[in-house]
Amino acid sequence: MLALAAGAALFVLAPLGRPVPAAAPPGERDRLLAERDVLFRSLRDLDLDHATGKLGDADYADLAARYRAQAIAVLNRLDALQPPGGPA
Amino acid sequence: MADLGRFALLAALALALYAIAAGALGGRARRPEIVLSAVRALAAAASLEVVAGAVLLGALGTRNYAFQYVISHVSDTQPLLYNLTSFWGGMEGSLLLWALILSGYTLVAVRSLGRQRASLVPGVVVVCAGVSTFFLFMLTGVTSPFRTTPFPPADGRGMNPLLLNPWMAIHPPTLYLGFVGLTVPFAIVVAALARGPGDDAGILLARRWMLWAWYCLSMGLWFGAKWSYVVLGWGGYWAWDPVENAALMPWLVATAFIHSVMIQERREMLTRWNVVLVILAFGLSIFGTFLTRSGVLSSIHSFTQSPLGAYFLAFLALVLLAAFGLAAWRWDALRSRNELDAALSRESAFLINNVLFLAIAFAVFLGTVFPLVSEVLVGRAINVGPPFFDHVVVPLALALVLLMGIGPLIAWRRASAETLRRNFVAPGAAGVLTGAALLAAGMRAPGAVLAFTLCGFVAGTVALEFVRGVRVTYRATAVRHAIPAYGAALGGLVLRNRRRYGGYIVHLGMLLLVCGVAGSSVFATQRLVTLAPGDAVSVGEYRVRFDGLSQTTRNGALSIAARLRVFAGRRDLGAYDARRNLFLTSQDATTDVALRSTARDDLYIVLTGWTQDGRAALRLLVNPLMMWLWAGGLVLTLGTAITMLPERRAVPRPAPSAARIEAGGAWSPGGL
Repeated sequence: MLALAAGAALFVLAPLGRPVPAAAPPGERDRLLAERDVLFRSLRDLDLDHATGKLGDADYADLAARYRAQAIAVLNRLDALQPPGGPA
Repeated sequence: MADLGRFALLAALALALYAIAAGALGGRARRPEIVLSAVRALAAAASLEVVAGAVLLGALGTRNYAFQYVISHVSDTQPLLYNLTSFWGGMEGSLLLWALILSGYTLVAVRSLGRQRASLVPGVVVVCAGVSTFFLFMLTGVTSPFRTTPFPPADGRGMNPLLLNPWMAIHPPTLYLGFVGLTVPFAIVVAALARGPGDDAGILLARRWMLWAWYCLSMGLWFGAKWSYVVLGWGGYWAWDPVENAALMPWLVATAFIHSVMIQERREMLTRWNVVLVILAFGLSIFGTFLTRSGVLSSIHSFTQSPLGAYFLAFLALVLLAAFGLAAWRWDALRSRNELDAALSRESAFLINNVLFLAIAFAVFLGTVFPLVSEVLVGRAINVGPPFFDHVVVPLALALVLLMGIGPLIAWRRASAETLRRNFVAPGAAGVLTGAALLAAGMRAPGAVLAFTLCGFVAGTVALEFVRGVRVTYRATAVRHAIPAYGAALGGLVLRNRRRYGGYIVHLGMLLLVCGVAGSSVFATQRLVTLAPGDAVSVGEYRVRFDGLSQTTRNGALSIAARLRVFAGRRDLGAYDARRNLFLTSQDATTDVALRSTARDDLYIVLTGWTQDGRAALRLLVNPLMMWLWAGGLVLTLGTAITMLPERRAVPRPAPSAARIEAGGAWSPGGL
């Protein structure tokens, strides 16, 4: 039991001795990526709703334009955040 | 070995406490090495809980009667499988199982969040470690599974024989997977709230966990219903028992969340509402455990005799106070960024759906706690009973079925009168035709006609969605051999839109369930008879002949069987036995039902008594559409599995590095 306790303590405290490199700052990029995925899914749903007759042409054109504009804005902001040559 | 188990749980408790402190400190100071240490503490705690679990399982498997838990739940005559499953047959084992599942979930959640949104990891670690601490404290300080006796008996008492059934072997762990699963969405939401404004989108990560918890709760309820049906011998599967209600309430709230979170995803609306739902669902999971484990159900006075209830209630109060306090603190930052575009939209349908789910949950809560409230107020426990639940819940549930048909036909954001008219024609006709056909066939029970009509409408909606979707996908398919192309189109449609079509399949499962409930509750027929050998009785379209009694002894139980022969018209459907098992040492009795199941109905026969001259008292029921109810669970499983399949992450086409994408350019969502 003593060995078990010592092993657990060693395992738990080991990271404190050697600083772990900080992960890329969270927040904006994560938020934009999530927003991008949601917008893409919404656009796909919109296409399907239109193709299956749930959404009229005029409403589709209006909503699709809005979603696209939002998606483009998000992609541009992602591009601006992204380090040169880094993947999206 | 008991010492090892005790030590492992104490050490796990110390590690969980350390994880709370290190997680909070590391998150606040943005020191990843401290957060990593906290995560490792949880991993070490999980390993120690596994050690404790192994010790208990070993004691149960080897019938080590030095453990008091083993004495209470194991016996020499009890089959090994049930000796092992008694791990979760008692309170201490259940709490240990809870802690084990939570540790497993926490490690998976930390790993997946580390990739998706590392900023939430410290908060999730703190919350999960906090909940673990409570359960480990209960296991070490209040009710330990490792209490021993210096004078072990030669044999144990074993479990209640009613629990010795395969459905009961899997019902509790499935339910716990659901109850405990609600901790992770709660932890994610609390972590997102604690992080502050800008991280509220992290709440969306709770959806997947909530869906898993919802599925486990669904199957836990389903297994419990099946156990009740085949073991208890009363011919039903749901009695609005407080223990059943305890699992139903978080299920209802989780279902509301699964729908409303879609509005948050698409429209950045209802964030506050979703936060409240997640906190409520978790709170209800703890409340459910409090209800079942405190003794409060039998009487408010027994609650005061058991220390467990007070601890659970204090923990629940602390959790709700802290979580709602945090939500109130962030309330302004959680406000919706958009408003409803139109009253007639899918968002509106989802809002009404949420109101109905919450109304049902509230009614169930009220009916469940009413005896406690009345005992406190007037000194007498007044049970409201099934009629209250049926009168309140059934109309609301039928309204939900109607919404299940309407919602998918309405587009997001807005719907025009013309598209609505066009979309409602076929499903509406399916509903009307169903109702008309049932009336023409002589069905006169208004509730059943309404339920089946609504089911016809919803089935029409789902069918229409699939047909139109397949047609659209088919047009885009190069293959022109009709059958393979339509098959490929269907597969492609479902796989490309997993959440939508998986959801429709779940709706189909719910429809089967509604049909099963309506059929079996409205059209069940019953006969109570006493037959001499050779006598026959008719029930529904069946004729049952009693061929005599037989008696056997097995595993310490005296088993009396009524030998029966079942006929439908002239057709011999075979021999069946309806048994009553009398356990000689414990004086318990169980029932083995003679059950013949078909898609049309169940013939359900119970031996209720017998006489010295060999006559048998039988209860015979014909329960229509029971198989539909059980099939609903399988379809629901298929739909949930499809919904939960991970989607490929959308990757945009590479844009020229220097060029920015301009609005109005040739960018197509179809190419994503």
